[in-house]
Amino acid sequence: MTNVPAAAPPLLEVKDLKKHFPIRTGFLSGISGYVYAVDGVSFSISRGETLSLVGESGCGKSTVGRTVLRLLEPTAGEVWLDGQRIDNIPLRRLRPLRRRMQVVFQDPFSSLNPRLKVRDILAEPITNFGLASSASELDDRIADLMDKVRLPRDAVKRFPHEFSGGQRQRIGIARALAPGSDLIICDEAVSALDVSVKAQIVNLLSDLQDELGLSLLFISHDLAIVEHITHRVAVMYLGKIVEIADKRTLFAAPKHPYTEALLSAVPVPDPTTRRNRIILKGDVPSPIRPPSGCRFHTRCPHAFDRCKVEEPVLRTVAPGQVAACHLHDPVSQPVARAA
Amino acid sequence: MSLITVDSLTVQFDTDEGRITAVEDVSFAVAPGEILGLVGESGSGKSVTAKSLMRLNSDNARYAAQSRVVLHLDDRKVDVLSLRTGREMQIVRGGAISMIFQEPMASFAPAITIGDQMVEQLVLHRRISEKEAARVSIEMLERVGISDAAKRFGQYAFELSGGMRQRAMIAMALSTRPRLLIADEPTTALDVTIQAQVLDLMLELKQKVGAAILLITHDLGVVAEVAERIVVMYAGRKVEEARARDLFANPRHPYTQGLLGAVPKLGSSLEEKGRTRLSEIPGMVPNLKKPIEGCAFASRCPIATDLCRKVAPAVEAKALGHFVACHHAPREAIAA
Repeated sequence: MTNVPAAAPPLLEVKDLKKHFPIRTGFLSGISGYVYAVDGVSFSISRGETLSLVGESGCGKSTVGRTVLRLLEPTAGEVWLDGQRIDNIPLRRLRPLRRRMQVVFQDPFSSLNPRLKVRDILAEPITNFGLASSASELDDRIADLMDKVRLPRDAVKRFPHEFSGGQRQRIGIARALAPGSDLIICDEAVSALDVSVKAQIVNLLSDLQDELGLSLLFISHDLAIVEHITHRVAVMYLGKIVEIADKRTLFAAPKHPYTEALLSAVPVPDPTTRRNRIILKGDVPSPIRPPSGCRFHTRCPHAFDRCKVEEPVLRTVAPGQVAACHLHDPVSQPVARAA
Repeated sequence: MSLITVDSLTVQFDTDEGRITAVEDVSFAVAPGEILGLVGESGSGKSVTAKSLMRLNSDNARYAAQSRVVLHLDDRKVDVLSLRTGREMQIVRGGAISMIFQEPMASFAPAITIGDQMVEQLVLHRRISEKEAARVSIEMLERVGISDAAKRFGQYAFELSGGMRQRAMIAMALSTRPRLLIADEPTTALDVTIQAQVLDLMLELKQKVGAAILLITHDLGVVAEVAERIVVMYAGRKVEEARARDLFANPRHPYTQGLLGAVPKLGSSLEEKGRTRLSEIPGMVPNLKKPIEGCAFASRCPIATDLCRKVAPAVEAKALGHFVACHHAPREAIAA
């Protein structure tokens, strides 16, 4: 599982994806601006691979997930699932493809219908996609799902409120697996859980990936969990990906100053280590009026003149690592040193 | 001498579904100027414990008769749980103790400016003129790193960003010069880069103002960064107390051990080959609606015996300054 064949075509490919939300200031008045939530994002995920999207609130990571699923319609760009373009096809044709990509949300309390028993929650996707030809086959599939997420089979007779947060998240995962998905988008799927339960769910996701060859798009702000579960990481800031690298490279030698600051800010559960924290000044700017040039230049400790005017593009900075930063452009190298 | 001592605190809540024991026989003390971390998962009773120090629990809270919370001020002792009227409670609420919460929006009145709120409490607790209070407030806002403090002073809470609101709340809490600041998950709602700013600020202010801090959190990383001593709670009970270094280097309660093992550490991928499993604590927290016989952790504990299921272990010193509530935690010889 750790050896993802490099030559295999990606299961999911996202090219220059954009999602801008119009701002309407009042009734009947026109559009007064846009929230540039996702502004040109490209990445791919191979079969059996986990790609994590990390970043702080408002960076657009959840919007990417929702736009890929077409819970939100993209403003521009392309989304390809297993060689088929899905961002522009009619919803009627998208429906059978939805079987292959499912989502697990953060809040296990609000994402399950409180009036349905677990059995009905799990039966719905199976019958919707016509995956069981008889009642007994349906029962078998449901029992199998309960086994997969390590819940007792007889728990299908209960309602969501009878379960703890961790168990409910298991039900959410079982529902995502129900139609036989290839790709699961986990949107902060373990963020609301307590430490001891979080570990259970993280382990479960890893096990399921190994068993079923799932691809995961793991959206999270928790870098320690991400480091544990992922193969590759994409770091987002204000609607853009600023760095993508395989896990070890990113955590050992981050190249973008934002990634560096983000990693250094994570508190480490060991009082004997005192690292040099890079404390960023101020808050994330508004995605309605993102800064000119590099969007990070207002908070970047290394920013120089070029950063204010010219937007850096993602370029390869090491094998398996791309970063969008002028510091790593050979052209501006002398300037950077001087600054 | 301690600033505040909590002794045999037991808090129960009468609810429609019966009586819930949220905190059971918890004792600890906070020394002047120290940072004590109170750690536990949801439902461990850490927030109820903290709120008891200011009598902020809801009206259906019952404090058991033997519970004592004593605040040691320069000239007198205050028995917090015996305070009755609002006027009496001003000694602790906003006086000797200030509290900040996870959600700063909930701590500011939405329709009153930040400045007016800061001035009001200063006039009440420090008995200074409004003009003087305004000056102190703006100075405090500057000290917590809010730029353009005079302008922010006249704004409403919703006009500030999340990180700035948290700073303003810290400024308001510290402006009355409390002896103890209770911080209940102060950075949980913040992004890591903002969290780093706020933690730095708390450490800096603690040194300058000299207030003790009771930091309540579920985040072992946060507590490791700032706390000097740590109390670990589980299902309403104190299971372990030690200096921060000792707790992380040598956790002695099986729950603490499990908790530390369940947290992934940043940089783990650099040491290990491939992906390893996180250690799990099987099962879940017991239901607090029923009295728990024996050790509350016994049902999930890897080393539990019949003794654990029958007799609740007392909190005992197992090494110097290291207290554990476990029948099976080894004891070290303690030098006198």
